[in-house]
This record gives sequence, C-alpha cells and structure tokens, in this order.
Amino acid sequence: MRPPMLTSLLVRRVLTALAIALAAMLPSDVAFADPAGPTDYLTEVVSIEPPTDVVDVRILGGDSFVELVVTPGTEVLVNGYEREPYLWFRADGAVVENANSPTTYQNAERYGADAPPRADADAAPDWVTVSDDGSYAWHDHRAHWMQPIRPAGKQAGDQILEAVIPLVVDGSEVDVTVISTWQPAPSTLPAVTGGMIGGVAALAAWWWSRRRSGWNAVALPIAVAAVVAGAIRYLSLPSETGTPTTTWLTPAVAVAALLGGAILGRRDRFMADAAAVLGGVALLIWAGLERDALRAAIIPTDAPAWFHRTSIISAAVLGAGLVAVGAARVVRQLTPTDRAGSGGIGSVETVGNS
Amino acid sequence: MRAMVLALALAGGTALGACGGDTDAGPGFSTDADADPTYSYTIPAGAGDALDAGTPLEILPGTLETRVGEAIEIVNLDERGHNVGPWFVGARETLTQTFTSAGTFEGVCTVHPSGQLVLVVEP
Repeated sequence: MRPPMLTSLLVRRVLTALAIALAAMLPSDVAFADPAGPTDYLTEVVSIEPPTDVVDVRILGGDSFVELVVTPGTEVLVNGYEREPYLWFRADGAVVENANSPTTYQNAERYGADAPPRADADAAPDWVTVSDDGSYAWHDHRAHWMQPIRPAGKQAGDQILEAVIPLVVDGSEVDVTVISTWQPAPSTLPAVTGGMIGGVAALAAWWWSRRRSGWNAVALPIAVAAVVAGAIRYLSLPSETGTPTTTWLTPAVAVAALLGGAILGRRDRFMADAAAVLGGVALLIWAGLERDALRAAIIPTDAPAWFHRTSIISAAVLGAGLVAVGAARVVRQLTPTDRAGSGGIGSVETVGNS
Repeated sequence: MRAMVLALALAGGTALGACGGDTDAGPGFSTDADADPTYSYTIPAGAGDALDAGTPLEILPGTLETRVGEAIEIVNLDERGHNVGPWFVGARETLTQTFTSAGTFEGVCTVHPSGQLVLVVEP
C-alpha cells in the first residue's frame, strides 16, 4: 500500500496537472473555433424544387449550418455566392471544396470572414477533399440572419429571412428554399430550478465540509450532469462543425478533481479542500462558456433544452459555493495556528520539501 | 501549489476574457406605418428570380445617409422576401421605419450588387 505522504504528493501533482490542463485548453478551443452556438433564429427548408429524393438538406444548430447528404452514385454541385462552384459532392462519396472560391473563406465564420485576394470566383476550381462519406455541413450565409443587430421592425414569431441555395444535381438545377423565424425567448423555469438545486448542493457541501474530509463528493452528481450535458452537445453535430472539446472536458476536469478529493481527501483534508476549489473553478468556467444557452431560444444539442439550462445554472451556483467553502478552508489551514496542528498543510509541506 | 494557483488564475482570467461582447448598438428604429417616408424604394416583382439568374440588382444605394426623425419605406412587390440591411421585407410586404437615434450600420443587402448596405443616421 502506498504511504500516506506519497499519496498526498501524488494527489497534489495530479490536481496541479488538472489545473494547468484546465488553463491551457481554454484559449486554443475558445478563440479559434466557430462552432454552432445558441441562437434565437430557426431556419427551415421549405421546398426543394424540383423535388428529388437523392439529396437530404438539413439545418443544424438552429440556423448555423446547412448539412447536405447525398445518395451514393449522385453528383451534386453547390454554387457559391457568386454562383461559382463551391462544393462538389462526387458520386463516390467524396466531398471536395473549391479553394479558389471566395465562398470557401467567407463561410469559415458564422458571421462571415474576408476572402483572401487570391480567391477568384472566375478561376478554375482547385478542389480539396473535406469529407468522404457523401455528407458535409457548412456555414451558408444565405441560411441565417447575418446582420449584427436584431431584425429591425420584427419581433419574436416573425419570419426574418428567405433565401434560395442553388444546387446542381446530376446536371439539373435544383433550388433549396429556406426561411428563418425569430423564436420566442426561453422559459426561466430551468434557470430557477437549476439555481435551487445548485444552492441546495452548495449548502450540503458546506455542511458536510464541517464533518467529513471527503465532503466534495456531494458535488459529484451536478458535475456529472454537466459532463453529460456537455458530451451530448459535443456529439450532437458532425465533427466538421467544430464543437469544442471544452464543452465536455471542462466539467470532466471538475469530476476528476472532486472524485480525487473525495477518495484521497480522507488522508489529507487540505487536498480535499484544494480539489473542491479546482472543481468549483472548472464548473464556473463551464457555466461561463455555456452562458449564452440561458438566453437563447435554441441550443445546438440533442439533449432537452431544460436539462442543459438547469445543468448550467446548478453548476454555476455550486461552483461558486465550492470555491467559497474550499478557499475558506484552505486559507484557514494555511494560518500559523493551524500549521501547528496535525494532518494539515504542515505535513504536506514536509513531504513536498523532502 | 503555486503552479496550481497560477493555473487557476489563468483559467479564471481566460473565462472572464471570453465574456466580452459586442457593444456597438448602431442606429435605432421604430415602426410607424403612418409615417411620411423621406425615402421610398420598391423591390420589383421577379427580383428573386433575377438574383437566382445572376443578375445584379441596385434598388437601394450602397450607402444611405439619413437623419434622426426621417423615415424609410421599402415596398416589396416580389414573391420572395428580401434582406435589406437591418430589415427583412417579406413577400408583398411594405415596411416603414423611422430613424430614432444616430449610428452607423453595415450589413447584408441582397438587392444591391455589392451585397452590402451602409446606413448612416446623423443626429
């Protein structure tokens, strides 16, 4: 069996690694991806003219992505904004994108990006493979509200967009008509419920922290619910839509920290308290990253919206509680009077310096 | 322990940094169907089909300079709705908007060859 002092050292290193991982993974995932986010607009395909059953057009993430699925043996060309060749779904299932099309670059971001000077709609296509299974999803700016403000003169329930996405299916022109509708704001009930659940859990954590060393186990159910909510959201859209791994990885760090603190904290209360702070920070960060889902009508997830919203608020309230309780206990153990006691930071520091 | 505290601070700082939002409010509008329009534009029937065929339309100017208190009317005679700057004008609809506050708006306009509309509302 591993000696208690070495266990404390190991746990400390694991928690430190988790904290560093939590800090390091955020900038890369948050700053550069442009995945589907919560939205107030719902885009729907209203017609495909002339009708054909060899293509399936879906809207993903409310209004964010257009996904085209093509029956094997069928060739489809998607025209860009200047009617130039943009995407080519080949009969063998390969999907290629025209690197010379300005549309390729403009579609890199939800609200549009600038095309480089070398992009030329009149140039011969330069095809680059983007998929090999006959399906692909992309930001099509014809299918979503592109303005930086709300539609002026409109309100929830109103139609705010109508557009045609031109396809060429086996040599014949096919028009996909889409409309977008402004959706009503979501109910506040999940947020209120989540706040109550998180508050009760935070109080339970505080009460338990005064009696047991593995007190942060109280927080595990809500942290696990956050992982489930994040994982479902991550898996709900195709990989090319770029849903960030932080969606599930951030609460997973919280679960790992809380679980580690609950199991190994029996031998070292300081590590249990530090783990609670780390878990609380991870839950707060996750709730912060997901905060838009509380206000928007549509969340890009296959999970029920009420579950996702309840998970966010309960994680935020509990996370704040864990940080407050854990930090207070850590500070108390770092005071000189506690340093003289047994089982606190004093013993850990001895191991760490040996 | 110092590394853990530093990492937590970095993580918290990153999360706070990600919370920044767009604060550019742009001009203000109000709906007033009885307003006497200062500017009036008409989207003709068949405009959508013309766009599909690759024919550029120039129904509104690329840049529209107005003043607070003035009003714009957009009449859509087409069978298809069109995005005109901050507005969506549905099929066979007429939209009238009064400018209530100053600001500049830049956005998509399907009925201009550039695909863009710059709207400047002066005080």
